[in-house]
Amino acid sequence: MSDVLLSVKDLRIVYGEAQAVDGVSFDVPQGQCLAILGANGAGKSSIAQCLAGLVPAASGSITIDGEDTTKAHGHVLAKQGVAYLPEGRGIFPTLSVADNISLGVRVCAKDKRAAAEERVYEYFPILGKRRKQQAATLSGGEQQMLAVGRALVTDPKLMVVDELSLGLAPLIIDDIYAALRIAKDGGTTMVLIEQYVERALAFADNAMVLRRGVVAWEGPANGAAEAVAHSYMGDTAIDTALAS
Amino acid sequence: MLSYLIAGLAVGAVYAISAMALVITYNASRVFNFAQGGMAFFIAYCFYWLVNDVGLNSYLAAAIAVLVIAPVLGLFLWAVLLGRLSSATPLARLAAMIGLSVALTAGTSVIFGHETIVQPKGIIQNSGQALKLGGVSVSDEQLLILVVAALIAGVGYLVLNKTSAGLITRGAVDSQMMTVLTGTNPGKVVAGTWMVGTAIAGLAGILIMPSVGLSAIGFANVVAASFAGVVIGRLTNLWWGFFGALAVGVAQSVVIPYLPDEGLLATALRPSMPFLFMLIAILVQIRSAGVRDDTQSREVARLSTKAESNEAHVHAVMRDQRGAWDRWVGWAVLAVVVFLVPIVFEQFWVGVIALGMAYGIALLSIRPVTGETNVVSLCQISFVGIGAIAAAQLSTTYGWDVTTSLIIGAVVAALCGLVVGVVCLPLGQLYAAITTFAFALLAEQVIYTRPTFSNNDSGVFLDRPTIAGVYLLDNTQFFYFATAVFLVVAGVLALLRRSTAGLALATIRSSRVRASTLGIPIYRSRLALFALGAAIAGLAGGIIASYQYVAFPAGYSAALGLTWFAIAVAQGPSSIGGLAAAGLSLSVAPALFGTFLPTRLADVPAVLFGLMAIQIVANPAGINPQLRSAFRLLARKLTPQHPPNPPGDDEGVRADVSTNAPVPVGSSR
Ligand SMILES: Nc1ncnc2c1ncn2[C@@H]1O[C@H](COP(=O)(O)OP(=O)(O)OP(=O)(O)O)[C@@H](O)[C@H]1O
Ligand SMILES: [Mg+2]
Repeated sequence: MSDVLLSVKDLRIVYGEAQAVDGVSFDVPQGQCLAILGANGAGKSSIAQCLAGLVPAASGSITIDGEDTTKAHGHVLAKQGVAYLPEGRGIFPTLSVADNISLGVRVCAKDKRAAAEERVYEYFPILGKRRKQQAATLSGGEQQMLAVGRALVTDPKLMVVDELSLGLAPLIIDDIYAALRIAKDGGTTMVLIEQYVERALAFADNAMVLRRGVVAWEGPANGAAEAVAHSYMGDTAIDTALAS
Repeated sequence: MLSYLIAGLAVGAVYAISAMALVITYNASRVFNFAQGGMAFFIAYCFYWLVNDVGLNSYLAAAIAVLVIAPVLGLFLWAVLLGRLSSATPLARLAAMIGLSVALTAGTSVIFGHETIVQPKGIIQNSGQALKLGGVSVSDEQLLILVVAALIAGVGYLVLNKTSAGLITRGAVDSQMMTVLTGTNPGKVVAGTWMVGTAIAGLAGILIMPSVGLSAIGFANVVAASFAGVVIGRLTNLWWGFFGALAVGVAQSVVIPYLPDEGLLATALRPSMPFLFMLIAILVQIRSAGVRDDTQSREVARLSTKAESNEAHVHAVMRDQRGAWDRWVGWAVLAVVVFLVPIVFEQFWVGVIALGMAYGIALLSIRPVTGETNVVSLCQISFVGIGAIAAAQLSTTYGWDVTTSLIIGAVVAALCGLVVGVVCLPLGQLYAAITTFAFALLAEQVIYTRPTFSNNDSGVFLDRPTIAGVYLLDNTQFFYFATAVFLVVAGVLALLRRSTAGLALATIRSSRVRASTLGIPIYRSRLALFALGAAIAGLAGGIIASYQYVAFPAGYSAALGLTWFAIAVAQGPSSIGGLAAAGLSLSVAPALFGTFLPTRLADVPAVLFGLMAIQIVANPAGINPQLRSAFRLLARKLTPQHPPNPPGDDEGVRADVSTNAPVPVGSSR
């Protein structure tokens, strides 16, 4: 097994009085993909936002590529090659497609920006025809392509992707996963959060199931299906099962 | 005609760049710069000082003021205050900006001396004719303004649309989170816009100074007109804001030849232009798409719900500490004060304290408005003025009994309040603050200046009332009277809160959606409260005027209204004790300074009031409730028979109250 790129130890995330994540630990080896699964409100997005430096960790540590990034600011992490695709659409809605991409590639070195911009249009040619269009007026699928495209072309070392396929048609999901696959084969490490379980498990190497902020199960992706079904049945079902 | 057009364009151009600065800073930071007039005033004064006291060339002085002093001021304010406001509730944000405005304006007078400079020279020291255009001469001052405004607009357009700094700024306006994710520190962008915004505001101040004089009041006009522009641009559209404000300036000038020689229109139309433009813009916007403002933006809504829940938490903690006996403490303090004041103090100071109680009544009017309905009304002082004027007219001109006049004065103020409320209440909090402030400026310039009311700037006589056969000639008796009225009004307000209506209002405050599903008539309830606030203010106005024996309208300026609001919010807008303390400090602090300290320091109290309002960002409940809560904790610790709480629990409570700064939100790590 290759080096560990992302290592999370005993992470806790707290909003006011509410514990969203309570002592989660995991490692992701270089070039691999970890799928984080779990019911609504399990704390998946909170972990993703914390990895991206948008939400502070109450305790625990995050190490990316050997560097402790627990307290790093989001914009610093972005420059260091952590690309986060937020839940919803990761775009600037009132800016044009071209402006979105120019802002997106600002995390690259100056001399690589122009080439990176062109690569977005190679990944998703349809965006090339819509350079001047306001991003908010793109279709949902095109918006997601824009968000994924601008992140991919920066050659991030870690990509954190939150609910990529939400509200998209299967064909478009295929396109976007194909693009992610290229990046993964190129050596990008990924954390994938997905409600579309089969898709995620087919793509990922390992999986982790969260339940109310704690790890309920973890292991290789191909063995995860049953654990996941168990978790999605909801807490009451499990509690009843335990009680009997 | 052409000469009026050119003059109008020159003034409008200053309004336009001011509006531009407001829109830029608001959109980047979501903080509306109520202090922009104060900033402009400060920087214009710096310029004046550099030219006249330091002896610099005026162009060099302007460059230093606009390119060095202004950005440094903007950066400093961002670092200490503005940068933190994004995680505060909308109310705290507004109050802090109003406090900043008060502190800056008063602070400028403290630093530079407070005599008004009537005809300061601008950048062009010896103004003359620059060129002739179609037979009309254009002064070089006008030409300079037009060129500068065109330059700012042009450069602004190019920077925003053609440079990467502009692109980043547009991105930051669009989404803070995405700005972070694309590797830019949004704090830097916001700081940058504050530096640019302050510089533009300062430049506008320097340009307008020769025509309005170097006084805080002169700048109010610019502020009102640029606010109109901002409303026309729906707070977000830079160019609508720019040209809207320009249009206000042009309209104010081109109507001059058509005005009658005397009468209401002759004096009232021009100063009302900003308000009229604002009204038209709001009506059009309501008809077309509804009015949006900051509270409706999703990002801000998320932040503010968070800040509001923090605040609710603080309130809940404080309520929990309430002991069985400590509600009597306030009454005990009051009884001691009422008993001691006339014994200890001389007549002069008893009078000062009586006036303070009267101010306290005026500030009580903020409780139904801001405390109950969360509306930031900056025109309560206008209702005070209206009540005073009406009472004086009825009593002195028409010979009515004084007490009756006071009451009718309150009714008149309530009617005005209804009219203002109808316009302002359907709008969001920020729009309401802007329009009520515009109304206060309007009242100051249109109503108060009527010859019958101002009586050659000496005001109209109003006698003291006779209550139960006692003519309140004596300050002690007047003190009892004012305190009694204060208590009655406070009692009515307290009962209102406990009644069913009060519960309904609490529901509206916490969730409008829930209130409307419960069938509570939101708009009517809020309107009624607003009118009640105006009535209380009007009553207070009559009482203040009768204490002073004169209804002197110039004493109720919009700028002073900001100070009143600042001190009231600092003390806690829904705390009755706090409002009494605020009223007292409004009269006692200036009297103390006026009696014992050089006049140069006369504005220090206002600076303090402003700073106190600013600190509510860290301390949302206000000073008085905080003091009470600290007192309760102390009392609890000193009370031996009190069953001790579990230690962990008690610790938590104490930590919460002493460090209740809002928990950092979102990307602020
Ligand atoms: N900004 C916030 N303030 C307060 N509580 C929050 C905040 N963000 C998330 N939470 C709470 O933290 C918990 C975990 O939320 P999170 O968004 O991480 O869940 P999730 O697993 O991503 O759910 P979903 O599948 O619905 O996206 C939830 O109970 C949520 O209410
Ligand atoms: Mg989520």
